[in-house]
Amino acid sequence: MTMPADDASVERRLRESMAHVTLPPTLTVQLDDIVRAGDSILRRRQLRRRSAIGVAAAAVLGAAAVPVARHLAASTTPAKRPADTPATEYVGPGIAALMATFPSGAHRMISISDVGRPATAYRIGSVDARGPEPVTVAMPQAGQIVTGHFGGALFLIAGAEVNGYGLRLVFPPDRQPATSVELQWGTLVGATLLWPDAVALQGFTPIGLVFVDSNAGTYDALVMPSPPAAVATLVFRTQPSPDDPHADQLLLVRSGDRLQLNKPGASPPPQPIGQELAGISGGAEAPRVAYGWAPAAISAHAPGQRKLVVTQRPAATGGVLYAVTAAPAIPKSIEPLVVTVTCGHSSVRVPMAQP
Amino acid sequence: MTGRDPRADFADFVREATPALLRTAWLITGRVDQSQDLVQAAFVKAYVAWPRIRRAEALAYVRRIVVNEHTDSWRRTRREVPTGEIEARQLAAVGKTSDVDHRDEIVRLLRHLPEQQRKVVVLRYYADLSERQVADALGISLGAVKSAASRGLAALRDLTTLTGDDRR
Repeated sequence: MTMPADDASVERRLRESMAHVTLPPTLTVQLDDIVRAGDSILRRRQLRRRSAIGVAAAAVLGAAAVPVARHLAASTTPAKRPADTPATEYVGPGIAALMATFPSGAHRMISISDVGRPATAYRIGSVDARGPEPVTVAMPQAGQIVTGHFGGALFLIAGAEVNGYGLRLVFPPDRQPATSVELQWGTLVGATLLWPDAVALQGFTPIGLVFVDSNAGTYDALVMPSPPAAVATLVFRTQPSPDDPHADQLLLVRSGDRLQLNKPGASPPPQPIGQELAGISGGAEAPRVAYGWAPAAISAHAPGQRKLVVTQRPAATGGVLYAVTAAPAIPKSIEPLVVTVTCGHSSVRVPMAQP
Repeated sequence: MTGRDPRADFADFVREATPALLRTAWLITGRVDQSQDLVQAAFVKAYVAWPRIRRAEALAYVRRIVVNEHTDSWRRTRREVPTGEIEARQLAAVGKTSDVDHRDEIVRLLRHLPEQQRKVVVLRYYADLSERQVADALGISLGAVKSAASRGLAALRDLTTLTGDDRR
């Protein structure tokens, strides 16, 4: 855009530029969604009015009604209390509270609210009274992350703040978006809940998340001074599927200078992630851990004439520990080493950071 | 309101107002997902209040909601930094056109302005509101509108000079 020197010309040029700006083709709104959400609000308002009328009538009963009401409250509240169902906890560098959800319009149908003042938990509920029971998740400490499912959406909440993480999504083999969006980057920064809802992903529910430290170059240098540098990747296991609660898990761990892929196996189920870490990464370095799915294959490409070794051995946790190392070290000047982990029809490409 | 079915009337309004509102949101946010959310949320609020909205003022009413929603959203999420958007990749995949370049340019330039300046510039020079109307829509003084518009224009001119766009 060219901006002429005088104010009148600048104004004119600006008006012209903005009036003719081309909207992205995916930027649209759906009348059906608007009407549905609006009707839902109107229905809830009607319900509230009815409830208010009921309260007014009860007040007429006076003091005698109070003990009854207390008794009812004591007996009914536990039954209605939302389940506290964190699926996975990750202990590591702090990440801000955030949330990812991708079903069509889910961000308009799911509400998040703070519980308590100051907030001690998040309440994830549906704006539709017919929606699933709300879920309350205790606010994680700094460096902790909890994930789970709600109404077909995948949510993730973490404590404290961190910058420079990227997010890729993993989809089930039989329900994948177009190839071009099989794995997507999202936003994983900030102190607030995050609701990416890209049009291309609407209707597709991710079953996993892969986090990549986009500051790997600088961050890794702090914790991993010796080459070859390893991956800075986090994958979080989602809540086990009711159909397959013992699904195999894949654990990616950066340990010293190696990327390790740990397959704990179907039985026994994986240990809590914090315990796994204690035996694997050790030391004072920030642990990088990943949970995903059992790998069907692991392949890797090392640039240049480097030798790439994938080894496996029994893990202390009872599963199989995979390790990928490259020698000699990969300098920054050439393309990064990328390890591809295939789980079913999904592949996760894991770039390994350079020293 | 007309004597028509209110739902049909609202549907007509959505069809007519959507391009302008999406463009306003897009210029203010520069993000597809956020623009979509703002406009959709504003339409939902308008739908709920539709019986009380005068048709002639509906666009201004919803535009004000879009701007206010963005202010609220910005306060909640100002520390978030998007790492990428799918649409950009898809566009890149099909090849850039001169329109896309043009769009990217003005949206990118606007992103350099502070929130209030950007809103004032968009409402003043895209939505073509008077300074008084902009002040009312944003809930700020007339002087603040004049100041923001002036600084916004100056900043945009400087930016195009800095980026070398002025050399043509």
